[in-house]
Amino acid sequence: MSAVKMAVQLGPLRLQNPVLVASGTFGYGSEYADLVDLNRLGGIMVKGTTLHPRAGNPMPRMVETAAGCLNSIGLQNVGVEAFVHEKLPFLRQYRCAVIVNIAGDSYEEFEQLAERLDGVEGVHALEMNISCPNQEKGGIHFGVDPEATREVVSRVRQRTRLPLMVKLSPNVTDITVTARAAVDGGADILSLVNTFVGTAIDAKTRRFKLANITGGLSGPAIKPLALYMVWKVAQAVKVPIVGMGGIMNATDAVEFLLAGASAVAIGTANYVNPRVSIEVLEGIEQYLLEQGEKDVEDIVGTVKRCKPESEF
Amino acid sequence: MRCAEYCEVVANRPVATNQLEIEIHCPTVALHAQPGQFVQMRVQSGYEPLFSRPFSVFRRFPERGNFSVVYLARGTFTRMLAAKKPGETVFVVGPLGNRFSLRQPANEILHVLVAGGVGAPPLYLLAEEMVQQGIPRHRIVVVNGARRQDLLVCQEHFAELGVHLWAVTEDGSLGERGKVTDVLKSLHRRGELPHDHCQIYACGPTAMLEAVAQFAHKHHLRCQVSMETLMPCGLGVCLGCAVKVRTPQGTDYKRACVDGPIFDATEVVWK
Ligand SMILES: Cc1cc2nc3c(=O)[nH]c(=O)nc-3n(C[C@H](O)[C@H](O)[C@H](O)COP(=O)(O)OP(=O)(O)OC[C@H]3O[C@@H](n4cnc5c(N)ncnc54)[C@H](O)[C@@H]3O)c2cc1C
Ligand SMILES: Cc1cc2nc3c(=O)[nH]c(=O)nc-3n(C[C@H](O)[C@H](O)[C@H](O)COP(=O)(O)O)c2cc1C
Ligand code: FES
Repeated sequence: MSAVKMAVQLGPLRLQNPVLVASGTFGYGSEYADLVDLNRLGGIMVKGTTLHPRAGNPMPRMVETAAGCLNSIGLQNVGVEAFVHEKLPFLRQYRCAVIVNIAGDSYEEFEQLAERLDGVEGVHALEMNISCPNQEKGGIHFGVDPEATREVVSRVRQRTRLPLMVKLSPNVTDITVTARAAVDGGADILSLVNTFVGTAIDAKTRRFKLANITGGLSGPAIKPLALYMVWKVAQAVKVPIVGMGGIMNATDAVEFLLAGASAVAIGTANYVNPRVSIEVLEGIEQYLLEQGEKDVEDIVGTVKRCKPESEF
Repeated sequence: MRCAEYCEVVANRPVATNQLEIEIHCPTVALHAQPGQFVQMRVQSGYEPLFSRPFSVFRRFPERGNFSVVYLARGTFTRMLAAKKPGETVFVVGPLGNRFSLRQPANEILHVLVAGGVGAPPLYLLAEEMVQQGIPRHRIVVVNGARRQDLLVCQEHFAELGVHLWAVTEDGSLGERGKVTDVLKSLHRRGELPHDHCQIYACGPTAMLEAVAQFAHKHHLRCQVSMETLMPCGLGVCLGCAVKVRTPQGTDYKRACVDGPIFDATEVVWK
């Protein structure tokens, strides 16, 4: 038994600890099961799931950049039916929470996904991925248009009793606007951030490096941006936040908690070190002990302004 | 069985111009790695470069719990690897991926191993396994190619195995002048590649693999290729290593790191 209390309550969702693994970076758990004790994770956010299977975008679809990477995977996944029948039985054996990341091209697809997963044993929450580059027929980006955000969230809210997490896009001028819209629509929890749109060019060949031209930037390069957005949103809304973006170690994770996230998710770092999530969990406990804290929830949002020089 | 852990560097010795063999203490890989499998390695603590790099297992020393990798010090990562000294550690995840499958009945088939540049190491492990399994040495043909003599990898190791060995360099500095496919063509012309009793195993740059695959297709020879892609995770989750393959329905993507790196050449969509 740990000397510090690590369980966290995210609205209706209880996690045994605040360390999650981010969607698209941990597969369906089975890929890591021999290297990571899945029972120790707070939760697994599974790969973005769509109504029908998707093959994904052409290659090359991933490039390394300075302290980060750009990906244009294009939501390659097995589809919701195969997820329920082939992937979920494995995950049910573990006591960590299973959060299904859902993505649709239209309101109806989101609604159908929510309905399909409602009440399915072993699914503990939904995470709506409204921040993928796919568009509604009329050209609405769910994640960047606040009205579309509110609408899609409220439609899904009516189709499911599961705790509802909404994953925000960082590709907006003011993220607090879409954050409020998601909460108005009925989000229980917000998760942020998804990847930042970017590109990479090979000067020698004068070509774009990605077949799709643009991709989503993740990894340590985005951490200051993500941290700022988590802090901003924590000021703007009352619902709990799952923070992510460039977390590579326990110190990074603690910074997100201090900024106002109640839990954190590890993404790209899982590729670099498959066991990083456990190292982050142990590192947070260590930090709390060193700081004389008894409960991880006590440090959430406790960042203070730096002292101006004159006060020393 | 696979591991993800910091492992001690036992030796890191030059074997040719810009080429080194690094020997690492890692009992899991030493005991379990199969020909064609790879490890993901990371040597840096900072974020440049961010990802680990895949390297084929070259030799295994199960009795001392070590394995080795041969690499060309050519880019940022491999130069950092070259700077590692005995006693220092590297982070190793492995063994990963599938293996070359030995076509049966192995003793009656002609096994043709086609290596391009740093594609040679996993083929050495395969040839060594074949010899250990008692496959007659004259049924193991290695075509080892590179641009120049000093870029030819594992040549002496293949020679020590006593297999049928061809060296081929583009500038003619060692062995035949030309490309690996030129040697394959002349073997074929001489009737030495019987299509129903032959299996090609190829590892090297993608352009070479494509040429070998085309040659095999034209002459109805079976061929396995080891695909080289960027491998951010190596564990099958990031989908960044996708290889386009043919399916009965059309085309699909497979993951080089877990569905490969070894693919049947007819399965791969090259263009
Ligand atoms: C299954 C497999 C086995 C391999 N085995 C060996 C081996 O035994 N010996 C050996 O020397 N090399 C091997 N490689 C290649 C090795 O992983 C490195 O990619 C290579 O050594 C490049 O050197 P670097 O990392 O120093 O280049 P860097 O300067 O670090 O990288 C140069 C650029 O190439 C990109 N890049 C890196 N690796 C790849 C890649 N594999 N495909 C496409 N782009 C890439 C980087 O992102 C960067 O933009 C293997 C690759 C694979 C997939
Ligand atoms: C290769 C890759 C695939 C991803 N796939 C998804 C996905 O399917 N759904 C989703 O909501 N986010 C996806 N993400 C975004 C991550 O979940 C995370 O929000 C982002 O990478 C930022 O965190 P990081 O910097 O720690 O990786 C993906 C990220 C990467 C790198
Ligand atoms: S390297 Fe990540 S899926 Fe293959």
